Order: sequence, then structure tokens, then C-alpha cells
Amino acid sequence: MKRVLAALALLVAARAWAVGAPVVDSTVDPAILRIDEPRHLGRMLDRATPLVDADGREFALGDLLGKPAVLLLSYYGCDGTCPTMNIELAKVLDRVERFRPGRDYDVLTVSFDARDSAQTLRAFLARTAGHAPELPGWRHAVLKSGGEAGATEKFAGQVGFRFFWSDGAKAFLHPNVIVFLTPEGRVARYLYGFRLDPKNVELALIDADWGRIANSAAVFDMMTGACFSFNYAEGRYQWNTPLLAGVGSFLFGIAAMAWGGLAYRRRREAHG
Amino acid sequence: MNLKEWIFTTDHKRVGVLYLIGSIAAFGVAGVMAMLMRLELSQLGPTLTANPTQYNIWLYAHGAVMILGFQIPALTGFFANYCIPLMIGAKDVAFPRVNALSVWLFYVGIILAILTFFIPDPPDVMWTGYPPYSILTTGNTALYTFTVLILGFASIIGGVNFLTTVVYMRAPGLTWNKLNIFVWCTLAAFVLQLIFVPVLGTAVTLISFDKYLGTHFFDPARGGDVLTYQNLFWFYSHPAVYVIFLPFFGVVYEIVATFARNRVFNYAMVVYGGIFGIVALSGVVWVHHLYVSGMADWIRIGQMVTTLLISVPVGLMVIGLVGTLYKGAISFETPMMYALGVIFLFLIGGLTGIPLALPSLTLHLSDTYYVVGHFHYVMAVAGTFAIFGGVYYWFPKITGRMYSEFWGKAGFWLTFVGVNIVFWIMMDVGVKGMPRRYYDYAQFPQFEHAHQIMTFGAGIIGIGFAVAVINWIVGAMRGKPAGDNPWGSMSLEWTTVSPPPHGNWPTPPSVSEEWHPYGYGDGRVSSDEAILHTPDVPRVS
Amino acid sequence: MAEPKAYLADPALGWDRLWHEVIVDITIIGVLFALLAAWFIWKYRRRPDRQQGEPPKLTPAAGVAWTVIPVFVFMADDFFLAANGWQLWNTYRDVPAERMEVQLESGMYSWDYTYANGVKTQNELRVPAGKPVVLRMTSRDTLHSHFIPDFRVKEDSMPGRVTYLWFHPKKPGEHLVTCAEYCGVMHSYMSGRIVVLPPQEFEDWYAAEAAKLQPVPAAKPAAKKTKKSA
Repeated sequence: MKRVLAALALLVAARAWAVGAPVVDSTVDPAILRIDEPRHLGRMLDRATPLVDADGREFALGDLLGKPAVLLLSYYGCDGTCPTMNIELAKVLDRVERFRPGRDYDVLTVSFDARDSAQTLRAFLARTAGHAPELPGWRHAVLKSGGEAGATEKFAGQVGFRFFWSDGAKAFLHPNVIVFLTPEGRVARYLYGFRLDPKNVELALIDADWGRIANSAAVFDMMTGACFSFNYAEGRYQWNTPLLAGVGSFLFGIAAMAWGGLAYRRRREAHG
Repeated sequence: MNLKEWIFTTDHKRVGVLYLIGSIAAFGVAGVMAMLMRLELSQLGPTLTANPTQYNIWLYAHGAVMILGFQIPALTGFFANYCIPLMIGAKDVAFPRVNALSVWLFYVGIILAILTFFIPDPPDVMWTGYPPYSILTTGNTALYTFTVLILGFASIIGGVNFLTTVVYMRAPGLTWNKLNIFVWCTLAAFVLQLIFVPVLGTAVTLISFDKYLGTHFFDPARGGDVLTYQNLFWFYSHPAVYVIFLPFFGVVYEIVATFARNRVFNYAMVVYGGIFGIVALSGVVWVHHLYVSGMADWIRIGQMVTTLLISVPVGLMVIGLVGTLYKGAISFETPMMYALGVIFLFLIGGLTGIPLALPSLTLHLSDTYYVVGHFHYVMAVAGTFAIFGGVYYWFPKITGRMYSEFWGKAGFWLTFVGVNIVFWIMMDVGVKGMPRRYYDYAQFPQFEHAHQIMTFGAGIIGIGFAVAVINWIVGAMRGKPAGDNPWGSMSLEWTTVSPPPHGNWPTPPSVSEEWHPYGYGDGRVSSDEAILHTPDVPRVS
Repeated sequence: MAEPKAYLADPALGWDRLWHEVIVDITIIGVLFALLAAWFIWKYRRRPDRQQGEPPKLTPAAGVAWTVIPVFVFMADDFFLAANGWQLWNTYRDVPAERMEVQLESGMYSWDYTYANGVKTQNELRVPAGKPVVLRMTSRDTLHSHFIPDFRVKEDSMPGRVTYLWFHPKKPGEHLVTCAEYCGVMHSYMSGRIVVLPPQEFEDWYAAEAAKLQPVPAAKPAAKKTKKSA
């Protein structure tokens, strides 16, 4: 009991101190970086957003769309989580066998750091090269209007992605998240963390591409999409248990009828 | 005739009558709920109660009790029990004790449903019980779950019983092509019950798990999906519409054939086209209840086509019915009045369903009074008229006595006028935008007058049905003896005495090659003329 | 030729047109059947000299014909209606590219709108005349259904999924919004309105609201209050 009290007192003291003095070194409550998903799911990104890739070529976000896309927000001066995220994403995408990057969907990494340019991007690519499989259809880019004040915040804000510079860590604090976009550029799904499960990625791609799947004969994808539902609290897909239970009870009913019919036929044969 | 005999009875006729008493009682309770709601809506603002929850409880009870406590048990409980063994020349059902169990389960079910009014926080979730509200509400939805489960179980064991009975216990010579239309319809209804009730049971059980055991089956934040419930619910509850429709149309067929003294028009079309068609399509149209629920567009369009196609088998059944009138010899006793009433009410109800089959029109019409008016015409009113007509029709057989023709017709005309006042106006108000399940309608003050007329019409309906029920009670106690076959029907149930003794016939009947339940127009006047090799039945009085 | 196609671009116009068409269709069927039945009932009533029906003997071929021909007649009507219904459905679901997008979060018992620039309103959606409006809807608690009777459209909103609807306000005016999916005790009181403003007036209001949002944090609560009372 004493220990708890002591800890509480410490906490209170720390809090009082934190309010009084500028934050120099402290851990951040991850809740403030949390993406408010209900507000952003379904939101359309600005298709005209001008981007520049590593070779200095300019393109608009809309040019990339038409297929579902995986969007990763990073910054290229990062020596912590960003390269890891890019490498891990490449690894997991390589393990998704049903959908291939370039063919079925595109991947886009965009920097949210206004100081990034084609040079820092090339340096970043050089640093990560060789750590992960090379995937076609993956573009790394920076915002063309990067110099303009608030442009990166505005772009990232469209998907509810928040970040800030920590002087203590000399790094940006930001959520590690990949965003799935529909072919028309709407936010379809968020998946968090480094350790992505290829199955979750596949299901998120099905969700992102639901429009096409619903309009074509992709029965397998349709069934897969219906059998799983997304768990927002844990950020992963899980079996849609009620649906499976319902289908199970329906099959039970059918089986009962069929069994009755069979029993009847057998008995009729037995009795002539 | 003592009480103990009735409680421990396994006789299908008594079980049937117990079903009838229970379901008419449920009808009365649910009818009172309807009256309370109509009174509440007769003025803007609070009228009877200042508490919207009270109104929502009435609405829940009205829907759940009318469907689960009145229509389904009256049709698949009372009519099936009373008529099927008599129509197929059987002594009783295949499993008489199971039958007794099912009727007492039914009573437990309606008592649970009626307990709604005596517990502190009654369920206020509507008979659909959609989550997340059914999980968030303080109302005790467990009562709803248990009502559904018990009535569902009663229905399933009833279904097994009757399928077995019809398959194994038909009288010698009574082939499949000589089954009454009612028997075919009820068989089809039981097949639907057996296949689809487990799905509903699963859905409502999971709702209770979520509410009371803290699971997350329908909690979107934890991987649940609220739409899954709606799909499961309607995957059963749309076929349930046919579980009601098929038997009530069967009853109407029996009445029309008897009073027109005419062969059922194109029997094979009615059975193989109409009934089988409905069974085949019943499982693939449920999404028309979810046209505005946010389902994928392709499934809404797909089920628009299947929903419209349902009009094909249903249309065949209407053609069969109207065709049975052709070149008949129609007389207009009370049961026939009700049956003819069903034809017209069903025409209105069925055709007003066509706009609702189109998702584009439903985007405006869904969840308005138009829907309420439509399904009351097509299912609630048409079904109840068929039930009342059927009770009048078999009344002489059940009691051995005759009801009062005058009061019978008076009751019919009162209800017929009343339902058209209420539900025609209801559809009109709905098209103009009045949403359903509203305790108050402050945003639609222009509808107050229409609501008042509807309340007035509801009063007429109430008097009409009360007249009918009193007519039965008086008739059963003091009516004139009716004779064994007062309508001159060819059907097998009229060949035994009224009321039939335990075992129905002293020795089981067998039917001849040329006999048919609708074999009118062969020059014979009635079935008395020994088409059947029925041994003489000693009269019990 | 642009004029007669107007109903194809506006769901509300298309709805009225299709509704009229379907009502004519079902009235014809209904009246035909009802008259036929009434005529039979009158003509074939029981008379002293006709105590028994005299049903026509259907040959097997006639029986099949009496099944197949009605089936095709009904199916023809069904497919005719389905084709028309589908056409209007596409109008309802294909949102014009030139549009205003507003987010809607429904909750017990209010409609909370968020415009693209962050302006928020409750129970009152202001839109410019002449521009299609898309609502991207979600719910924070139970099911709700955003029903605008004047624009002939509704769609449920629910937690965990995003749904949408669109409508085309043409003239300035006010339109009722009301909840059409049972959502709880106060379901019948969950209403709001859509205020269609002349484009310029809307732009002014929109800019003024956005300006209030911008820096001065102290101004925020005050702005919210005026919005609620409006």
C-alpha cells in the first residue's frame, strides 16, 4: 500500500513539474497520436496533391490511384522506426500471395517532414536497400509543396495522422500505421505496428478493393471479405463468428431436412 | 369434459383447440397494444403516456406477440393440428405426446411474452431486436430471446411431427396428388420453419450473450458487425412471412373451393408452381429488408430481381384462387366473406409490395408508414382474415354447433371497412414521409388529422374482431346443431361426425380412385354419397 | 434533348417519375384482377338451378399453358420494373463528381455534420443551392437513418461502417431531416433540417465559420454556442 501511495505521489509531483516547466525529456502518451478512425474512414484524399519521387519526377496522387493503394507516412531523416516500417512492410507485402504490388495494388511512401527532398529520399533508399525484397509498384515520394507552411500537416491530416517534433529525442513522434486506400482514394482501413500479419494485409486489401470485387465475379474474395470482420480495438481481422454460427445453423436445418428425406426413402425401400 | 382431460390431452383436436385459445388470447393482448398505440398517436404530443419507452414497449409487444404468439401458432398450431390428421384420414398425429409438449411450450412462450408487462424493465427493442440498441438498452431483452427460443423450439418439434404425419399416415389411396392445398401449404411452411428457425435462434442467442455475458459478437469496436445480425434475422424472418402466408392461403383455398363448390383451378400449377416456387425463392430475398441498411450495392440489385420474381409463384396462387371462382356455384356464408375479403386485401397488399421490391423506390419508402401499411395488408390483415374465416369455416366441425350468421357478417363488414380506413391512410401518410416507430410526430403536424381517422378506424376493427370472438363463444355454447357437413364439402374432414370423436373415425377411412378433395362438378352433390369407403360413425353427443 | 433526361441526374425527380410509373402499373394489374374476381363472384353465385360448380376440364397441355403463360407475363413485368428500378438506383448511388462532401456522425439523438474545412454543425446542415451534396455517414452508438423526405432518400448509419447518400438541392429553402431507423427512446424526436442557401450566402457563412475556427482558442466555445441555438 505504501508503495502505491509513493508512486502516486511521484506521479502527482511529476505532473505538477511537467505543467510548470517545458517538456524536455518525457515519454509521450500514445493516446494523443491515436488516429480517430470513425472520423477518417471513408474520407477522400485530395487527388491533386503534387508529389515528387526520388528521380525528381512530379506526379499527382490521383495518377497513382485506380487500384487500391497502401499508404505509408514516413520521414526520410529518420533513423528509428521509419526504415524499419518500410522494410517490414516490404517483407509482409511480399508474403501476401493473393495480391501482388504493382499488379493488384500500389504502394506509396510519402514524407511528412517538410525538410525532406529528393536528395534525402535517395539517401533513405540507399540506407534501406538490400534489407527487404524489391517490390514493383512502390513509389517513395515527398510533397512537392513541401516548403509551404503546414502542407505536410494538411496532407497527413487527411488521414488523421498526427506527429510532432521532439527536441529531446531529436526525432518525430508519430504513429506507426499503414493506410489502405480505395481505388478512388478513400481511406478504407488502418493497420498498426511493425509486425504485420500477411492475412490481415490481404483482408484489408479486399476491403479497400470492395467496389471492384462487388462488381465482378471475384466470389472467393467476396466470401473471404464477408467471413472476416475488423476488430477496431485490436487492429486486426477476426472471424465473423455470428455469420459463421448463422450459416452453421442454416446448414444444420438443411441437414436435418435431408436426413429426414433419406430416412424416409430408406424406409420406403425397406417396406417396398 | 373436465379440465384435467384437457391439460393432459394428446388428442390432436384438443391440442389444436388449446392452440386456438392461446393464440386468440395473444391476439387480444396484442390488439389492445395496437389500440393503445393508436390512442397515443391520436394527438400530437403525449396523449396516454408521457414516456416514450412505454409506447416502445407496446410496439414491441404488438409486433412480437402478433407474429410469434398469434399468427404462426394459429396457423401452424391450431389449423395444422386440427385439420391435417382429419384431411389425410389419420387417427392422430405421428407423435401425440410431442404434440402435447409443443402446445404447452407455446403457452410458456406466450406467458413469457406477456410477462413483458409485469417486469421492471421490459424489452423495448421492437420485434426485430437490432443491435447495438438491443445490447445497449436497459430493457431486459433476455425475455425477448427466451420467447423466441421457446416458441421456435415448439415450432420445430411441431414441424417434425407434421412432416412425419403427412408422409407416413395418409389414408390408403390418398396419394400426394390428392392432398388438400392446405396440407401442401402447411407442409411447405414446416419445411421452412425447420430450415430457418435455427438461424433466428442463433442470432437472438448471440444478442443475449453480448448483453449479459459481455461477448462482442455484434460490437463493431471489437470485431463484431451489426449488419450480420440484420442479415441473420431476416434470413429467418422473411421465410417466416411465408410460414404465415402459405398456411393462410391454404385456408382460403379450402374455403373458396367449398363455398364455390368448385375444383381448385389447375391444382398442379398451384402446388408445383406456386407453393414449391415460394419455398425455392424464400431463402434468397431477405435483403429487401436491408435496402437502406448499407449493404453492398450488388446484393441489393441481385435481390431486387429475386424479390420481384417472388411475384411469379404468388401470382400463380392468386390465379388459382380466382380461377376456382370461375364457373363455381358461390354462396356467401361468413367464412366465404372472409375468404373473398382476403383476395381483395391480398391484392392490395401484394401489389403495394412491388414498389418496395425496387431498392431505388425503397430509399424513400423504407421505414415509413407505407411499409407498415403494406405488410399489414399483405400479412397481418389478410392473414388474420384468413384465420377468422378458417375458424368460422371449421366451427361446425369443432363444436358441432352453428354460429350466428348475422353477427358473423356484421363482424366481417366492420373489420373489412376498418382495416381499409386504417391501412390505406397509413400507406398514404407513409409516402408523404411519416416514419414508423414514432411515439410522437412533432415534425409532421400536418398528419394529425390522418392519425385521428386511423385511430377511429382502429376502433372499428377492434369492435369487429370482438364481435367475431363473442359470436364464437356464444355459438359454441348455445348454437344450433350444425350437422356433419353443413357446407357440402368434399374434403375428408367433413366425413366424420361433428365434433369428431377421439381417433376421428372408428376405423380409419380409405379413399377410392376417383375421390378428390375438390372433386366437385362430377355430378355428385356431396361427399355423403359414398365416394369414400367410410364406415358408419357412431354419433357422440 | 437535355431537358427530358433531367430525371436521370436527380434522384428525387427520378423517384417521382418511377413511383408514378409503378403505381400505374400496379393499379392496372390490381383493378384487372379485382374486376375479374368481382365479376366471377357475381356471375357464378349459387342459384337454385346451379348447386354445383361446373369447372372446365383442363387438359394437361392447357394446365401447363395456364402456368407458363402467366409466368412469362409476370416475369416480363418484373423485368420491366427491375430495369427501370436499376436505372434509378444507379442515379442514387453514382455521386456526381462536382459535389460537396460532408461527414455525418449520428448519435443518440442528434445529427453532427462536419464540413471539409472542419466547420461543425449540429442538426442543421447548410448547403449551397445547385450543388450535389454527399453525406459520408457513421454512428457513434446505435443505428440511425438520415431520412430527408423532400429529397426522397435515406440510408442507415451505424458504428463500424461508412455509408453514404447524396441529394441535389436546387432551390434555397428548408427541408426536414428525421430519423427513420429505430434508435432508442427519443427516436421520434431525432430531427433536424437542411437549409439550402443561395450559393453566395452559403460561401459567406462558410468562410465566416471557418474563420471562427482558426486561431483564437478562446473564441471556440462561444462559436459553438451560437451554432447550437441557431
